[in-house]
Amino acid sequence: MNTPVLELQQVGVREGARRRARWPLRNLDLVVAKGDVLGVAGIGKSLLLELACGWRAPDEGRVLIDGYVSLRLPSAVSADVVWLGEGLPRWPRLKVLEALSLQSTLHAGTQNKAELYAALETVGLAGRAATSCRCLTADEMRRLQLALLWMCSPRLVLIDAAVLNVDDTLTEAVCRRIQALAQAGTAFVLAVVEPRWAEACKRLLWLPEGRGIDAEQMPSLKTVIAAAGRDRALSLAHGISARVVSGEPGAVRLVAAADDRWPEDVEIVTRPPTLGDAFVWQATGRLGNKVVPERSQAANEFLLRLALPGLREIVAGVEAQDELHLRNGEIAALTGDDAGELLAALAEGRRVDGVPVEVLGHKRADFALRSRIGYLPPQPPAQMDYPAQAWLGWRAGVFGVSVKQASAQILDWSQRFGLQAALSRPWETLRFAEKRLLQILAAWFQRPALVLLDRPFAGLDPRQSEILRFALLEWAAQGAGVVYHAGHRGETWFADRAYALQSLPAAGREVRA
Amino acid sequence: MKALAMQWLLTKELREAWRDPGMWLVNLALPVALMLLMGYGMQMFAHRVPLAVVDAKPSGATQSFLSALGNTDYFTLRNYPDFPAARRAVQDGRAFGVVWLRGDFSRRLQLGQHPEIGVFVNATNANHARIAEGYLTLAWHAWVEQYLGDHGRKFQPPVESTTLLWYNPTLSSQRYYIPGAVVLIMTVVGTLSALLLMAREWEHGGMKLLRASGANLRQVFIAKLITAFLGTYAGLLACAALAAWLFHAAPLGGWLPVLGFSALLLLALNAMGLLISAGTRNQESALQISLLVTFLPAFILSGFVFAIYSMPAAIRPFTDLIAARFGMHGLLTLFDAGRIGMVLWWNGVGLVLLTLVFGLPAMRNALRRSRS
Repeated sequence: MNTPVLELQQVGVREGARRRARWPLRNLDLVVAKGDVLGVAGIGKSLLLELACGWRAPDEGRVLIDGYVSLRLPSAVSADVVWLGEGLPRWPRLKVLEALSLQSTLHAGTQNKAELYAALETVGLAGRAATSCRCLTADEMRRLQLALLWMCSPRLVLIDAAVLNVDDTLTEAVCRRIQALAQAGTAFVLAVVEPRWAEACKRLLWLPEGRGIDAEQMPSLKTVIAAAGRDRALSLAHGISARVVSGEPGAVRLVAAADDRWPEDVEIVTRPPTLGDAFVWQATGRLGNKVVPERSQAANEFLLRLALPGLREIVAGVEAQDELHLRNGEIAALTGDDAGELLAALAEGRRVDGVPVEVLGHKRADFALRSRIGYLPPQPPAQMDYPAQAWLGWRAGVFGVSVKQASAQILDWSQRFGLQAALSRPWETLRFAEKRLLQILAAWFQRPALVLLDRPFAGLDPRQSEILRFALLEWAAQGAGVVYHAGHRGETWFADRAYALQSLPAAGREVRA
Repeated sequence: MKALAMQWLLTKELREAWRDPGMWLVNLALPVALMLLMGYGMQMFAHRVPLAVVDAKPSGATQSFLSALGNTDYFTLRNYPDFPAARRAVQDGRAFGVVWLRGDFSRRLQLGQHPEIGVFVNATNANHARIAEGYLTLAWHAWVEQYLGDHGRKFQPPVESTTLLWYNPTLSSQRYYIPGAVVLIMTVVGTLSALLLMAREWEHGGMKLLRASGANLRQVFIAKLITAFLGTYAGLLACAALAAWLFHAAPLGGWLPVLGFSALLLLALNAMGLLISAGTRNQESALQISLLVTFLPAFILSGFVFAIYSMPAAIRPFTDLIAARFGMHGLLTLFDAGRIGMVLWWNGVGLVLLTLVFGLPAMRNALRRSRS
């Protein structure tokens, strides 16, 4: 099992022209053996995966796969390397089954139709086998990519964080498959931003410096599941310098130093710390604990009301079923595949058949109301070759924010989000997380009354997630209502109320302008 | 495994092209529309040219000449009382030129002398003016000869010349323009189709995905070239069908050599399209560049409109880089002169060399995985 499959020897990658060159990765040594499951976190994850699969040439050092230089792999070795990268499958005219079948063929996998259907069934795409890839949502495309894991038994699998952004059911299935393949000798490199995926790894590596996080650090930690609400969990974390790992409404998992004393009035369940806990502890290590902003209870107007059959609160509360009510200063989470579509329809003022809606007191968000709604779309904008600051300035201009106000806001929020260095760089060179944070910032420019965020935590590491959580709390404290689409239940603990959306009514998918 | 992968890649490309309405538009609708436009619109002969006629002293002879002139399909005549009025008609654009029959027209004819007529032509379009003037002169000489012959006199020109017209004895401009139009259309379509295939794959992230799938990028390139070739060849067949049925084009060399030679031309153009898109890797830039490096040079430097031998010596070598130049020469030969082995051979070799000149760097560029 110790045969090296992937070796990086003193690898360095340069970005930019010679004088202004940056080295996102330098002097990196790494060995991934047969059966190993390595998680990589930090800055340069996708870059490392691109190097490892031979898509990109290193500027220094060399990358070997099975002893061959990655840029000149023999066909047989190349077919044994599966790379599930951030670029989603975009063969728009192929059907789902054809796309999977083609990839399986290229990776020397099976062509058996029953197995193809079984793989699609596992990832929840069996009903979409005959659909064109162009009709798939981003989530379905990720599922299609992951279906390949059930079609072949490669030597090396490289999976980017964006592809791992899937719901809990599929996460469990993928983790089981990773374990099975790893036992059979497949080596894995996973780009990790969420603790649940860190737990699927045998070891973790922090980039760019390449230091490891492993089981040795775990005895110094203590994990506690505190049966408390969000505000209690956050104030608890603030009190004893603990970190929130994940949670669901009513049960938040925190990690702290082993010698920290927990207050006696907290109902706690202690668990042995995992690699995921160690990952969160390290990722958020330099982040100072913040006080939870106080929320004003004065104004209590409804910002959003909608009735939708099949909408259920994850933890039954006071609110009626099949209905979502959001007042100012509240944060609500929506899970489910169609949640993103619902948010887009609300933001764009489209009517959804069969779903009575009241947005800011109106039946739909008409043009006049749009400036009172901030919206984060599910994907970053397409490639742009001008700097991020220029893009932000343009967005501010669209909402009628003055240049002076916009500059002040950009400066303030970019400091809080840690994005100062990103502002001057062209959009296309930014990392995924930087783009998302800038988009979120753009959604807050006009200080909207209602903020609709589609997968705001996707692609953010624990540190960035925590910064964003406090930003949302601050916006709520200023009176805004926030509705966000949570990719999985682990992201819902932070909301005042969390809802599971089964699906939009069949007629509702045909949204009308 | 290699053959299976190649088969799958080719199937993938063909399926995508078949299901893409854009490819149908580019490969079939565009050539057919351009063929109709160019076939009917590109006519260089004078046809129903509006002429102003000033008959200073109407007589039987002048009426006979004007009837002869009006009976041809080349001119439409309109009488004006005097020369200034006719000139105003030219200035206003109501007439293209003036035919002035002087007062001594009939008298000179009766004396057996060769009467003179005044011809004034709007020469802002020099080419058109030359053609109209040539037609008028020919019509005038033919009428004088006929008139004098009918009256028992013979017109003796100082020198008698006999002209033998080779390859296009009827001087039909369509026989020249139809093959030329086919070459021009294929230059646009052949390049466009190939560059769209490759640039879209880059833009959609498909190349990255293919690489991630362990595909051999050389095979990907070949699959794309074959797909582009088949798509554009379908367009060529549509153009050929239109040329045969609608414009009655009948190549002396036969249709089979025409289609074979066109295949060489298309391969060179497809390779050029792939080279452009492999360089730019996005559709927008690729389309802009393709317009600059395909249609315009093909129009100007292929010898279709402007003769290559009349160009400055410094420009002439550049025409060797234009696939349309070889295609134009070869197809015109096949259409008008038949199968002249040496011409077809050298132009065919030129096209094959251009395919390699464009194709090899395109493949190499496509194999370069990342820009950074």
